[in-house]
Amino acid sequence: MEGYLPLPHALAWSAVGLGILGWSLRQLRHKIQTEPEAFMLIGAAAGYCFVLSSLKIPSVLGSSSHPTGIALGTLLLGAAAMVPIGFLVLLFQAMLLAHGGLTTLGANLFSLSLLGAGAAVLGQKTIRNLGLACYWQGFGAALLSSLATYVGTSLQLGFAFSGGPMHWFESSAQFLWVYGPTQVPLAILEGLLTGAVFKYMIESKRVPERVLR
Amino acid sequence: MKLTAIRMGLGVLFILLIVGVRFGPEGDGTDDRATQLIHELYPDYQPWTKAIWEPSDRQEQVLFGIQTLFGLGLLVYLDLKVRRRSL
Repeated sequence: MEGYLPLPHALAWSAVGLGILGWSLRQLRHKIQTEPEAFMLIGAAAGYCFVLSSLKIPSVLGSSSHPTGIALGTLLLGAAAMVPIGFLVLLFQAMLLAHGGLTTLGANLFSLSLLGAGAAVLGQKTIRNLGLACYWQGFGAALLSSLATYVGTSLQLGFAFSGGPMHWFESSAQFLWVYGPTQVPLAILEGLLTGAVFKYMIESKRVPERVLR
Repeated sequence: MKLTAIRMGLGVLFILLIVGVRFGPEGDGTDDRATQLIHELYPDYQPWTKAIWEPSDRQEQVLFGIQTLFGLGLLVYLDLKVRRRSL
């Protein structure tokens, strides 16, 4: 997608991305100082995110895409932890794989690590309030976060490529129609896997009490 | 006992997923379709820059493989480390 986000948009999203990164690093430093097991959890969050985002999975309609792997780490550590991790993944894939891109990194960081992680928190809370067990909390978090990331991407692209006769929502809907059919099955798959890993981590007591509250 | 079963189940699940992806059918990426859509909507749009380097299909597989293995290694290492501590 390098060069496909018009320059003013790319600059604005880069500034937003930089802001998010600065905020998250401060939050994370605080977390590491106050929670001894934070390092371990950051490692697990990063490992899971690396594995899932490296899988290019073919889906219906013959197109392929990536799961995000953002939800698990969000459940373990909160949204702030996923920004630097998402940044590393995006940087690696932009520099070496020509997936995403440096000029779209800020925009991607926003949709992946902020919208994605925010949706994960929302997903878990909703499922927990329904009284369902931790497996389904992990499922709901990952499902919603994976979807939110691509809804975010569609809105960003729609925003950049609207104007003239086309309204923002109209063009966003078209991009959503490109990503949606591929992403929905992937989001369900990611939900099923994330639920299993989350349940395992809780049952084997690998997470602090805080996560369960 | 139950946890060992779950751990092995998860391991098998990850391996199946990774092997399935590596040797499964390959479609074009959704991002490529999105750029196609941009060209359809705005035929005049020219990308103002392009990727410095683009890997071949083979190189792409290897690089994604490295990312998968690194992440998986991290997960297994941490899991074993925590387990040793709690025993």
